[in-house]
Amino acid sequence: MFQRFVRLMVVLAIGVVMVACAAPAAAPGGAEPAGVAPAGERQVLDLWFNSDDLFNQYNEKIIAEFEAANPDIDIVYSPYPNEAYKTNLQVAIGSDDPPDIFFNWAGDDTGRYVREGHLLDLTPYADQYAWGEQLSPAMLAAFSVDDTLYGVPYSQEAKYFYYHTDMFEEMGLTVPTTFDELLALCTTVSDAGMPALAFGNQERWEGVHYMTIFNQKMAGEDTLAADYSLSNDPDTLFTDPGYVEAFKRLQAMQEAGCFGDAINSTTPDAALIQFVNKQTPMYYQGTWIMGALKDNGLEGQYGMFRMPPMTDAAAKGNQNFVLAGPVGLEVSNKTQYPDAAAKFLDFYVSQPSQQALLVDTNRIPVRADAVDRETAAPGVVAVADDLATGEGTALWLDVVLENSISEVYLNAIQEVLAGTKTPEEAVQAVREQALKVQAEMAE
Amino acid sequence: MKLRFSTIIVYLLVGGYTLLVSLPIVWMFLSSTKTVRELFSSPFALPQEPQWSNFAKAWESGISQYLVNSLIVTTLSVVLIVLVSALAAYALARINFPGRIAIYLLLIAGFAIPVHTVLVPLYRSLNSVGLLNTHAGLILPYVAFGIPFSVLLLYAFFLEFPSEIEDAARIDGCNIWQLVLRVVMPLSLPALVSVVVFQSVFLWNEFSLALIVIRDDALRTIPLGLTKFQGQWSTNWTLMLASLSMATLPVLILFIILQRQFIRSLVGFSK
Amino acid sequence: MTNSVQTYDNQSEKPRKRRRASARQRSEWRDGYMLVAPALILFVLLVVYPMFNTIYLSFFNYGLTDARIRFIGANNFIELMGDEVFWRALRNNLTILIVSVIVQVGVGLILAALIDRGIRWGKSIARTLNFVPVVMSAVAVAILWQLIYDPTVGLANRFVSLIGLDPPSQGWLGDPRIVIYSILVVACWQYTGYVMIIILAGMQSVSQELYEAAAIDGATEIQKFFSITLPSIRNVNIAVILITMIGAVKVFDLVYILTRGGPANASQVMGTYIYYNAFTVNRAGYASAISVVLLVFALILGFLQLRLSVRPREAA
Repeated sequence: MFQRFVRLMVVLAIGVVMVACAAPAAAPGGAEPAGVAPAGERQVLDLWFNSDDLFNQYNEKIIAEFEAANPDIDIVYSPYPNEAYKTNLQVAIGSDDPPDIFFNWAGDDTGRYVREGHLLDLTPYADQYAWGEQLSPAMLAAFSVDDTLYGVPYSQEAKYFYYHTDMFEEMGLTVPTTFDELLALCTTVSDAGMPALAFGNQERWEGVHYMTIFNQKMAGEDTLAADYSLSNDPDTLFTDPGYVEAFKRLQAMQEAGCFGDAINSTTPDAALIQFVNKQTPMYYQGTWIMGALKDNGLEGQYGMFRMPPMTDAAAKGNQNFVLAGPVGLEVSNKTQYPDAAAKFLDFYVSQPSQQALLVDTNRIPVRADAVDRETAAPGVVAVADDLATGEGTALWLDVVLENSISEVYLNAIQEVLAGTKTPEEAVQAVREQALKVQAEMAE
Repeated sequence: MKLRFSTIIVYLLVGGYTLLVSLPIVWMFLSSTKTVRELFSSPFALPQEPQWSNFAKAWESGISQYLVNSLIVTTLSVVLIVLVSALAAYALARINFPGRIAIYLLLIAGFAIPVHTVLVPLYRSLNSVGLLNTHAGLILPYVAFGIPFSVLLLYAFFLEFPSEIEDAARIDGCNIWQLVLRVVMPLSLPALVSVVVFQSVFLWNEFSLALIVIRDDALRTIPLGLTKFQGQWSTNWTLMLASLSMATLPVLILFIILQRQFIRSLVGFSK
Repeated sequence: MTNSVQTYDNQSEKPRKRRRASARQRSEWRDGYMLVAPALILFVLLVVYPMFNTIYLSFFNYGLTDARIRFIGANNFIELMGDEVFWRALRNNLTILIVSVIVQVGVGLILAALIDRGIRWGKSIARTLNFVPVVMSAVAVAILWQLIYDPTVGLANRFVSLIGLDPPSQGWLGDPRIVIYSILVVACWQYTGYVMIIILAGMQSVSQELYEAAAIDGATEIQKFFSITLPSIRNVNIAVILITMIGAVKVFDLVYILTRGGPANASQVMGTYIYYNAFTVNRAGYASAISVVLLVFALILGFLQLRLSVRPREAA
């Protein structure tokens, strides 16, 4: 009652001042048409993207094509840099005016919005547009919860070691086939006076990628599945020794000279520049950098390999997993124009768009008919082939885990790298947060 | 001789310290007109050939829009702050009505409330009345949070306002609004200018509230816009520094012109 | 109390009654309320009400994107007591507070004294240049210093190497053990000029005759500083100390832009930890509980400042 009264008062008081403020408030794009839109009126859709300059060009091109084909639909495009994206999206989703269509990762980043009831059920549109027959079923499944589709994947992103072939030749290096060989390679490069790998962990997600694959390799995929989904017994939740071992592998890399100094204050952008400028021979990074590599004139001059297998007895996971995950577009259930939004999604993953995605940005499409082996960049073909040989996929740790647990993980990795936490302490912190969330979810 | 020597030491101390403080800003302006290569090879040399294109690029990438937004938000907020604060401060200082001390103390105490403590409820309230992601949603809290300081400052000034002028105005038949708006405020210009200058600088630079209220790129104010460049140009330093320079110049110029008023407002504030 | 009011009071011959006011008085009251109303309404709606709302919400478990809102009593506060990061944030605020008071007020005072009585030429230039960082936005300052602190090519590394020291191997902002001090350097760089200017204004109102009298007694400048300047500007010093303390409690922009509270929460302060909980990990109820703690600190400092600023004036 009181709340309602206060709200009324706010409206009244604001009404007085609004007169003065009305002009700027209503100014630029994104303003919705007031009330219910009669048929034939322009439909305005807000589209949010986690995107850099290079990818923006592609998106703007696709949007322009879509708008040309659908003159009654306007797409208002808002790109955000990676780091700010998750928070910005969350803040907007919590408001009464969320973006209509938005970029999202699979895993719990999608799962939580499903639980909280923010996403539009896309299953009917999947039938209407026959997405199931065109797009990779595994990736559609990644955006489904309980057989209901909540997102449309548009690209598969995977993590590889990128290396300069000329530097490898000069330094007499060969692609490591085991993790121990990788460590040895790091030491060789480090002795030559440079870090083996560019590594920018300021925004914390580069570190979590190492840990994602280490966890899978050490603790094993079955343990991960039980722990990450919090369905494991509280007594054994995150108690597998593999988690501590995984941190120790990261430390082993650091000790072997794989990384340079100041990794926790180096941005991913700065790390990329280090690699591009050949200040390091290698960079462990997602396939999304292939566009930037091409832009920097490195097309065809780099090689790629997966995180090599662990050969010791402590490694309980399948050593032939790929570190990868799909990214997709989702629709808010508060959107005024669900049909128009779905139409855009379909356009976005259509064959021509997907082919342009590959050609323009070197990203991995989600439809097989978009990859033309003759014209595609060699790196992209290599990834597409390699992904097919993987026996399973390890999905980014920070995306799979519930938000607050993933935050603890991200911080723990920085601390282990900084030497302010031991692997045991780090895993203990994760376990505590996981137990807390598990108890809360059970309520 | 001894005195001379100590004077030199004092000059060295003041000069050296001032130089140290100024270095980052000098470096910022200097570097913003260089190429990236020059920036790293000789950080304190003059640019060989000023790269004004850095400014042009930053300008086109959104700075111009952010400047306009900041100008709109700051101007409207400051006008409203001055208006409502002057009215309130006048009443509190010159009219004896029940509860005025309590109201005065309430308004002044608000000065201590950090905006971060009310971000969540403000976000919810603004959302429920549809003001999230609008300039009005930024201006209203700006005005509310600007009131304590402005009332404090104007109250002190109005206490010493000569009552003869008031009486004369009343005899001429002014009602209370006319008295305050047409007589008292024009005669209190120095105090009002202090408020304007202080609030302008403060609001021009405000970040925390803008961070949660504004999300459309087209509505961003300068500080919020700079954070976008922070993500976008983290490795393109010359563009980054050009944007920082352009964001800083307006307040810097305002400050240099109105230095005296600004300092007076700060001093009034500390008494 | 004020002149005009007294005039009216004198005109009414009857002793003031408590309950009934004269028509004239009532019309005057109405004027008073009318003038105060716009400010008061805005203030109550957008500052006071949200403040109480924060206190209310601190007893609930909810997130901005989560429609479920559950009353959990004092659980948020109980959790707070055991939250290592909260205590680190509090400790960081305290570190910032102590160091800022010592460095900003210390350096500001010395600098003001030197500019006030030590130099003749260039006073206003020195004053202006030292003050420029104050008018810059904290966001711009933080981004500028992020470049200065860059671990590979930043000016800070060059500077430190120049005087023969090794730059920190994990970077100025990457080492959990030193990051808060790196931030403090920026804060002191930005705000010392602010303290200096206020103190300088205080010093300029100290009577010159006192100095002249002391000079006749053969006092040195340093003696004059301790026997005349410092006692004369005692109130100004207390005021700037309080302002600096309030600034330390409110700090947000610098930390948010420089580190987001990282690495691994090492530079978290209460302001950023509130933001982190409310907007990053979707725990708005918990954020409200932290806000209540911050509010208590802020109100205590505000109360001290109020006593300082209102008392003498009301007495005068």
